[in-house]
Amino acid sequence: MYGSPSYARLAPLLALVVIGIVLPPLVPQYFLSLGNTLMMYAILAVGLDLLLGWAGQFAFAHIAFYGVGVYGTVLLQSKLGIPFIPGVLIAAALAGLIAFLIAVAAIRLHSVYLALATFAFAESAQWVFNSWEGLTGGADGLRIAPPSVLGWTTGTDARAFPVIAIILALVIGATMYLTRSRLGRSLCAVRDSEHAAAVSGIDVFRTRIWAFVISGTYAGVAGGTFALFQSFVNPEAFGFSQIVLVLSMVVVGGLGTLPGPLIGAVLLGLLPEIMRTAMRGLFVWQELVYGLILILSMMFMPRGIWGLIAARGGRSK
Amino acid sequence: MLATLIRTLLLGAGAALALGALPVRAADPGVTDTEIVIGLHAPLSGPLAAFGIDPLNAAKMWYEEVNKKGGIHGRKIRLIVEDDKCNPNEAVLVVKRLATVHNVFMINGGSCTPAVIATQEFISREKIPFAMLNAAGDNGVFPPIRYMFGAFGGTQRADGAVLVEFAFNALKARRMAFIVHDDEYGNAKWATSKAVAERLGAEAVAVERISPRVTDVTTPMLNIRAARPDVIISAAYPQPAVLIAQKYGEFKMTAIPMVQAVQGIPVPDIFQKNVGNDAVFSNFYYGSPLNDMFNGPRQQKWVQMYKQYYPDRTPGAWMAFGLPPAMAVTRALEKAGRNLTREAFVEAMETLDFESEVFAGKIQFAKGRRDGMRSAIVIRFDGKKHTVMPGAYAWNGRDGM
Repeated sequence: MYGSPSYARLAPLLALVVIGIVLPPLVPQYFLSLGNTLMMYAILAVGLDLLLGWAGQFAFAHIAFYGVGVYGTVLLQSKLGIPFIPGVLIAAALAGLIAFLIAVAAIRLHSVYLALATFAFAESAQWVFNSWEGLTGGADGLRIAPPSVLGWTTGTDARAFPVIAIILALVIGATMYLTRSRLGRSLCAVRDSEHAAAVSGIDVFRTRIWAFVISGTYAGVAGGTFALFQSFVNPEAFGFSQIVLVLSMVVVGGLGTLPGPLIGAVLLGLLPEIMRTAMRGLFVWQELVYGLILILSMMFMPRGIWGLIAARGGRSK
Repeated sequence: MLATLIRTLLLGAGAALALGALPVRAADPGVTDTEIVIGLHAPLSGPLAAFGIDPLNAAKMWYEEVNKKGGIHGRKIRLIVEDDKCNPNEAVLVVKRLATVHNVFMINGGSCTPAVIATQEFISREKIPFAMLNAAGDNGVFPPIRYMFGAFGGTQRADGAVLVEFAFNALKARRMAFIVHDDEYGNAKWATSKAVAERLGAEAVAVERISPRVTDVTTPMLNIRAARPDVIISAAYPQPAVLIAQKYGEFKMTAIPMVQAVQGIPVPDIFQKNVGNDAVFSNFYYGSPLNDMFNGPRQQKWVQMYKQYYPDRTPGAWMAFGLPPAMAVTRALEKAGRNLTREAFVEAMETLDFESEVFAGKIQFAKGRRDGMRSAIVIRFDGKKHTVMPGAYAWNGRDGM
């Protein structure tokens, strides 16, 4: 579980990149758009899981960092002419920096108090996106010009798909290394017992701050990928429903695991589309279905879908 | 050599004749010899479903009526219906699905402006004609883009201009107080309200920007009372509009006329019931892009038709908003002719100029114009009776631009 991941574990990432390159000419734009959305949610969910599942910090500011990533990438390109790669890196670093400031301010808070403080930050960030009209376009929204990635203009879903697949592969790869590193073990130790971690020589405050910063940076990267395949953004995209959606992806998929949030992102990202097509009559009940899935998942799969799969796999061995 | 050339030419001519004898078949997606596929989308679930269900049903009803009369140039209209929840990201997915999975010829959809704007880039790139449903769509039609037509019920700019014109001309108000939301809808409304007030020489003595999710309007209403306006113009959504009306009554401000934009009072009887104070309606007006009160005689033709199609639903005023876009689409399909292409359809849309018998003004488009209608009426509501005020008011298309 610790040390560098094996080549066998990294091989699926190569497969993801190959699929990202091969698939676009073969399927309609709708499916590619859906794929881009799912991959973006996967990055967002993996980042939130680092904070929530691995470090055990019950925080809700993730969607605000995602917003910083979206607006940062778009504005750096449109206002300063900064290309996508440096743009997304700067935006992600900015999201990480803001996460650091939030972490420092909220470091002494735990459980519901931390949740409330970070939720308040997410709400105020949305207010800023809505009110800072000169920069963000406010409620009118902002049109996004197609970014160029090393000369590859990503104006369409087909052109954005391979780029996002590569970014997702890099994010998953980085997470594999991170969770197997000393910091990854520290995150788990802090989650399981802060006192025990402290006694073991782990700097709990620093570890918690790192969790916020890395998670915020991931959200910033996810925001950057949004700019690759969407042409319009407005503050509605960073509201409470989005917080709940990403949280559900992590919880339903399986907290504190890497496959969990990926499964959750795919499942909950696909659910509205499945309901739109295969279960049209149920589509109007989408929110209720979300709620039911969340409740049933908590009741019968407290460790999420991946937890269930892993447990069954363990029993069969 | 010559014989070969002649043979080739004859063969080519024969092939051309044979192809010419085939039935007319357009190359664009969604059109066959027997049908035209149109994508319809609106919020059909979620908190904004009330804005979408009835207009979408009304559009379906109109297309069904056209089909009953034989369709258009021998083709029946087939509809693919999708739910966009008024969410921009979902709307983009829905439009891509309609265009690339269902291969529709054109799209008639959208009840919310941000959801419509989010689709613009895709619509333009793929050259898919798009007629908004009941979205006001200010930022979707200004600046105009070739493939997107909208604002059949008037833009927010038009609506804002009309209310100020009415307050100035009919109520002789010179000191005006405004309550507008701090969102895209409020921005557009305020842009023309301010411009028209300035042009007319009226003064905006109070401008209160409120959140659509506001739960208390005490402070804005006290600010307005302190400004001593001649009229209060509210462009609030239904829930805040109720709060505003309640404070208006509670603070004994009813000597000042209140003019409410149509968005805040979709069903006047429900609005009145929610306000719960009939004194509020002693000096109360509301704007409407319809050509009559929703329960007035000129709207009954549509209301009755709707009840035949959907006997289980009681339609609100939004229902009628879905008809003119569908009328525009079928008229443009007629004009474009049997050899239907998307480009021919867009050109036909650009020439439309007709009375819908639904709205206060004509539906008109042109090469550089994509907002369909600019007029509205104002109705006085005294708590019992609705009275259409004399005259129709129209935005000049310049103020606030």
